[in-house]
Amino acid sequence: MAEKRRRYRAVFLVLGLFAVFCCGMYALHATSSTNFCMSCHEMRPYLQEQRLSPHARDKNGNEISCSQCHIPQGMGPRFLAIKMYSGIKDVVVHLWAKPDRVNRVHAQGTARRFVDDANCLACHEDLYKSARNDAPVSEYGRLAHDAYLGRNGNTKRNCVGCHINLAHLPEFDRRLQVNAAFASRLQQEEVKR
Amino acid sequence: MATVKKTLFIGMILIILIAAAVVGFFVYLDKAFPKVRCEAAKHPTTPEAISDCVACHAKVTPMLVQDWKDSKHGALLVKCVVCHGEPDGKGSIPFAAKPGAKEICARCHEPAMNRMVEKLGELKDCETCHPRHQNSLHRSAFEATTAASNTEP
Repeated sequence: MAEKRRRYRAVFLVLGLFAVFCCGMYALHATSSTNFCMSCHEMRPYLQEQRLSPHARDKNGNEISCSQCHIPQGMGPRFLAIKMYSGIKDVVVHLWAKPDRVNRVHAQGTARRFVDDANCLACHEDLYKSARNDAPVSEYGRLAHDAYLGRNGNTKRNCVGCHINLAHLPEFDRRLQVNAAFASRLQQEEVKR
Repeated sequence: MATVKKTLFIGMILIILIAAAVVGFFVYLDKAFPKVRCEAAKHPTTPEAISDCVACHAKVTPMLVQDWKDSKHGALLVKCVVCHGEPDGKGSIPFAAKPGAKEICARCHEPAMNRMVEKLGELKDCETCHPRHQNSLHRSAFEATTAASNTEP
């Protein structure tokens, strides 16, 4: 009798652990979707910007999701660490800070810190070709990428440490010449609304 | 009595384990995603190399160096160390990637800054209107102001 009960207990334990594991995996997957990000209203402007940016779609025409840049891919420790940190940060800001009045200068620091280079390199494979992969990069680009790859000098910057305003464009950077096209698209959209 | 002691002991162990996990998490986060990447790179501190910023930065941040060269500061050979200080931090100007506007800019531009304050009142910093490496002292914005197609609405 006691042995039977023990066996039941072991089976329930294994089943329970399996259920917890499955729920966890599903939660990790579900909370990485763009739809989940947009369930908080304060994230809407960022999607609006991204949809009008050069990073709206990949080369196959598929929409680029938030997680494709902001969360490391795979299931490794980097992924789990970012999921945990960003998840807790987002909940804390949503509940106890003023999410509509986030200082974007500070927010950019955090966001840039956690954009994994591997995510950029997944699409931009050849660093000596332009973003559309049809021409060589400029002289500046070649020198900077040499340094990034450790071939000529070295730099400890990540991709978004230099490449700023790629998918999002805060108000204070719209006047810059390099962002003129992106800024005018955003402005047209704002006029329409 | 023994059970109380045992619970206390287990509680202590649990607290220590949780604290260790939290500390470990942040140590890992800091290693995997360093907060400051540039200043983590080694700056040479030998007397021959200490103020030759351009030797390396022409490779590492070529755009920035070119912007400086084409700017008014570049034309007048106001070298990096004048605003950014020297990497060993021993000079009179503190070593900083983003120099404090009021202390550093004011060393040369104080009369102009005073006129600005008279006109517009106390200003928070210089950077809001003259962004770091994109201001009128640097090429890209200089082009923008002279070009017929101004991006400003």
